[in-house]
Formats: sequence, structure tokens, C-alpha cells
Amino acid sequence: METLGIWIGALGTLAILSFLFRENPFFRTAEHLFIGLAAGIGIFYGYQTIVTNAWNPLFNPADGEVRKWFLIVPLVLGVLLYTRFLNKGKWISRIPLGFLVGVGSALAIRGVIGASFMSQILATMQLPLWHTMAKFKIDSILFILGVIGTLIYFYFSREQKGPLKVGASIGKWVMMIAFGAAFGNTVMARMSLLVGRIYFLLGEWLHIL
Amino acid sequence: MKLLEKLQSIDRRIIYLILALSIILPLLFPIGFPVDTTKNTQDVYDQVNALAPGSVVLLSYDWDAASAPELLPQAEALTKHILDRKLKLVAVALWNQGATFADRVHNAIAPEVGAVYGQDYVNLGYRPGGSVVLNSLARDIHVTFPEDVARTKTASIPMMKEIKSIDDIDLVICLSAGDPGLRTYIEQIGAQYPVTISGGVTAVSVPGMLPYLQSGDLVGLLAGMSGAAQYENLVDRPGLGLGGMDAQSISHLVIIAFIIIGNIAFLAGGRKKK
Repeated sequence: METLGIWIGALGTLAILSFLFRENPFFRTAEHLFIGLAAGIGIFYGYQTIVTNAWNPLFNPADGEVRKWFLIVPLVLGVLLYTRFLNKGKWISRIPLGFLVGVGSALAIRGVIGASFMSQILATMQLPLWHTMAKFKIDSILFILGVIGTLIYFYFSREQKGPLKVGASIGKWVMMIAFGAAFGNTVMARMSLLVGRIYFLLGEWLHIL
Repeated sequence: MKLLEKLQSIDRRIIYLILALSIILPLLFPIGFPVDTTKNTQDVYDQVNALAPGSVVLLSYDWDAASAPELLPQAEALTKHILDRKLKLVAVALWNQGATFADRVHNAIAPEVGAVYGQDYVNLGYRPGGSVVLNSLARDIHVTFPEDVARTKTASIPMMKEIKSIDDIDLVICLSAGDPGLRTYIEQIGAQYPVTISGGVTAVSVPGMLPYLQSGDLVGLLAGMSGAAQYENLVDRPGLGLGGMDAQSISHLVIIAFIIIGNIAFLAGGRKKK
């Protein structure tokens, strides 16, 4: 069974990579198979999630466990989402949607304000100006200049001339360097994926590694 | 000049072929480029190494097959280190394929180090919900993950009897390919509870995580395949990370060469037109 899986994986990989040569029926077959499988797996996991988290504890509890009747609430809310497809009952879907948005926002604000907002501001404010940041091997003055420059770049309440123009220019260059680093990392990640597939083809499939 | 013009109209398939060869040849004939350990990788290693035997590590598998070449070798090297150190390993997943990868890693590593399921490590599987799951997990692991992947009740698993909430976890390591993932752990667990968060991410995600290292919300970070290679080096278990580093380095050099050649050809062509 494992050998069959490896062969399907290898032939699928070759079929997808064949697109680099030109569009062909092998690529299209693999593409449709991939989309179909992804949809199938998605439906399976969705179904399994409902069965494990709501249906079983509610209607089919394990031995020695009590029925969790409160789970009927999320189950009903989930079903109500589909009222969106009813012409007259469309408004009902806003109830579970509102609940989802409310819970999502509350959790996001709770976490984001602490770690992604206040903590970042404090960490930058606490940096000594004349100090080497060991983690990034740069002087902290460069880091602070970069932060202030980037903030000035997005300050639109006054025309950017004089000192503001200099600051915005520093900000623009810092952002360009950051985007360059991000792009370089993206290339690295994509090459890693290709290395991974070729490693699989040469190793697990052809056994020549 | 003819050569420069030809370079500008080079068939893309030739570029693909050269790129493929730049990966295949180093895999077949390894060069053995040195792999230096970065401070971020060393920090992850030191965090695990500093824990006393019996301490609990929560390892979260928040990725899918598309990121496996980068994160699977990270997971294998980390798991080897954790189980070798006789730490208790609790694997969870916020992505649906994560639990399958956790099983795959455990099946590969546990026999190597003689670890026993339920006593040394456990796979609690996947729960959907991201932030909601983490908030619930922090308060009560047994309620959030009532069963493991084999449908054994969490409360009846020997090692889980003493591990009930985030207070019983000594280190959280999240291997993440996006959202929900490492950022979710930092925001929902790290910012609320006194537990160290460490992690590994795909190379694409590295720039987005660096601010959290600077602020101290994140301690240590494995960056893509190179992070995996460094960790494999530290735990002395060569795998896809170390095996792929030569290929990755050569392919990067080829890309850089193409960028330089392309720009020279473009600039020379532009001057000629003027």
C-alpha cells in the first residue's frame, strides 16, 4: 500500500511539473485530481469535526460520560448559517455570523493588543540608542531610525517636505530592504519545496539517494 | 552584443532545466557545505536542553503537506531532541493535516530513542478554531482535547494524568506555516500565561516573526529548511534538512547568476537602443 502511495505521489509530481514544459493532458488530469482530492479531504475533515466535537458528545457519548446538552447551541447556530440560501430567512444567518465575528474580534483584540502592539512599542522604546542588537547584528540606532522613518512615511497629515521628506525617504528605503528580505525568503521557501519534491523522487521513489 | 541579445530571449525551459540540474546534481553528489548554527536556532536548542527530564513540551503541528519539506525535518529533529532528553512530549495540531504528520514523526523517531506512547509522548490530534482552541487549551487540556488520535480518552493516558492545563507545560514549540500558528500562540498563550514560546516556521514567514524575537515574546526560531539543517546538525541526526542544503545553496547561486546575467543583458540592450 505504501509503495502504491509513493508511485501515485511520484507520478502526480511529474505530471504537475510537466506544465513547465507545456500545457498537457497529464498536467490537467493531475490538477483536477488534486482539486477533487482537496475538496474531498476538506469535506471529510469538516464532517469528522462535527461528529467528534458536537454529535458524539451530544448523542453518542463515550461510556461513563454524560451528554453535553449545551452543545446543541453551537450545532443549531451552525445550521442557521445555511439559512443564507433561503430568500425569506436570509436574515437569520446574521445571528451566528454576528456571534462568530464577536468572539473572533474579542479574542483577536485580547491577544493582538498585548503581544503585537504594546509589546512591540515597549521593546522599541526600551532599546538603548548606542547598542548592538546581538540577535540581528546591527546597531540599534539604525533600527530606531528605520522605525521612525517608516512611521513618517505613513504620516499624511502634513505635506512631506523638509525633515519629513528625509524621514519618509529613510522609511521608503527601510521598507524596500524589508520587502527584498521577504522576497528572498519566499524564493528560499519555494526552492525548499522543489528540493523536497526532487528528494522524494530520487530517494523514496527511485532509491538512488 | 549578439550573445547579450540571445540571453534576453533565452527559452524559459532551459532555465528550468539548469535549475533542476542545480538541485539534482548536489543531491546525487553532496558537496558538504558547512552549516553554521544561527543564534535563533541555538536558542531553540538551548531552551529544550535546559529543561529537566520529565518536563513537558507542547509541540504544535500547524502546517500541511505544502510546507512539509521545510517543517517535517524540523519536527523530526526537535522530536528526537525532546525524547532523547527524556522530556514528555504532547503533540497537538491547529491544522487538519498536522495530526497525521505528528503520527509520521512519532513512528519514525520513537523506535530510535525507545520512547513509549502514552508514557513519553502523546498525539492529541487536530481541533479546529485557532485562537478559541488555544484559550480553551490553556485552561483545560482534557476538555479541549478529550481524546487522542486513536480515540483513547485523554484522562486515561498515563502521562496526561498530571498534564491538565498550560500551568503544567514547561515549553511551547509551534511549527507553523501560517495562520493559525506561531503568531496565534504568541498572542493567545505567550501574552497571557508565563510560559516560554519557541517555534519553527517556513522561510516565507521568517520576516514576520522577527519583531517577536526582538521583543522577547518569542525565544528562538527555526527558519525553513536551513533551520532544520542546523538543528539536525545539533542533534546529530542528518535528514532532509542537511541533505537538501547543498542543493538549496547551489540553486540559490544559479538564481543569483541568472538575475545578474539578465540585468547585464537588459542594461546593455537598453543602452544600445538609446
